[in-house]
Amino acid sequence: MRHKKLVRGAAVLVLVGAASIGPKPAETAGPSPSIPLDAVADYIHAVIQADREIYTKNVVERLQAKGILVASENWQEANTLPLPAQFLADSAHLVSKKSSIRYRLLSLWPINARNAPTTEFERTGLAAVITDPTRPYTGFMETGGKYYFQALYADRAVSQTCVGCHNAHQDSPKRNFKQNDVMGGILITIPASQ
Amino acid sequence: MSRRSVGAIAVAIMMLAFVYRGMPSAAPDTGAEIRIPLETAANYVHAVLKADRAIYTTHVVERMQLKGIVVASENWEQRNTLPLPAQFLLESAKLVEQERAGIRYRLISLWPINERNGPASEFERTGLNAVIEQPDRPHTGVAGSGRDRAFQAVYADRAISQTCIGCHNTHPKSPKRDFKLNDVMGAILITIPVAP
Repeated sequence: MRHKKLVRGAAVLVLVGAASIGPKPAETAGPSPSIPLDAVADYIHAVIQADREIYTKNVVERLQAKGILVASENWQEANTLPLPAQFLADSAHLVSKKSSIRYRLLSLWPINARNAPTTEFERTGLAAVITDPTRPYTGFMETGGKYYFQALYADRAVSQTCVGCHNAHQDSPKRNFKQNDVMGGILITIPASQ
Repeated sequence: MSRRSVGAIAVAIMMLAFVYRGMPSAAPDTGAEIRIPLETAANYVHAVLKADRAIYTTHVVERMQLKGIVVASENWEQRNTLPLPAQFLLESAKLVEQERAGIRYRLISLWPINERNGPASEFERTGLNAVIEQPDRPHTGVAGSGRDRAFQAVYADRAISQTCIGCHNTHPKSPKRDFKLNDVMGAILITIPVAP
């Protein structure tokens, strides 16, 4: 994976530009309405976040507060609920089998080493969204001859469940998180050409 | 070389020149310059919605019901139960709307338990009939004008779990009570604004 952002972005743009004035599929079909990639990533991010929040607040926190059920890392072996972070990772895995988009959680302080940044873009992006959590860090990358748009969004501790687990877990490299802290990021990857 | 391909090359060169001049090399790419079809964007959002509801249904609702720990029920807010999978999707839609994300989604059906989920326009009625006939692809269209102009996509929504059927086939307000697993019960409608 490499990031030669400008040249790659321009190359993809030329391809898209050239394709859009090619022969139309049908006389009756008007120009297909389109949307910029950054807006697509924002929508996907909004849905991922909302679903995880509903799961966290209406299911996990509610049933924990009532003393009916708890969430725990080993939910598959125990009679417990998946953690909100696991809910997101499982959904991402399912989406990767049916769609060409990808998403995952990333952090400079991951409990699981697999969730550490693996590229310069991811490392720089995590530092950028910690400094300015209000907007995503974005760029293009190439892998296997295909071009992708990437957007990394700040991911905050939305609930006491996040903070409680990360501050107590033996594999956690940072144990002084407070609610609403930026704990890492959600990285969304979208194909940049059809 | 045809006039069209000369035109294509000219436009490509102009766009390239614009990109090079318009962006300082230190700035990250924003993704604002490259566009994809709205239908592709709706497909991505649909994939996430479906996956999240599926994970909730299988890992939480079905698993907990099977273990006899807790069940899902319509009146979950008043009781010590889990929200139904359909309610999970609707709650998420409400949250996205509150946050003014721009995108909207809801469940629609020709046989809704809640009347509110019946088709609200000719497009929705046509779309529901279309995806019952052909569940493999969405029914799409653009409606409204100016700031309200929006792209809409209707996706067939199947009974993915016994939980869906069990509830719809026994609910006193359900207009249809012979659903089978994997039947198209209705649709997920996704609405994305089209910038004027």
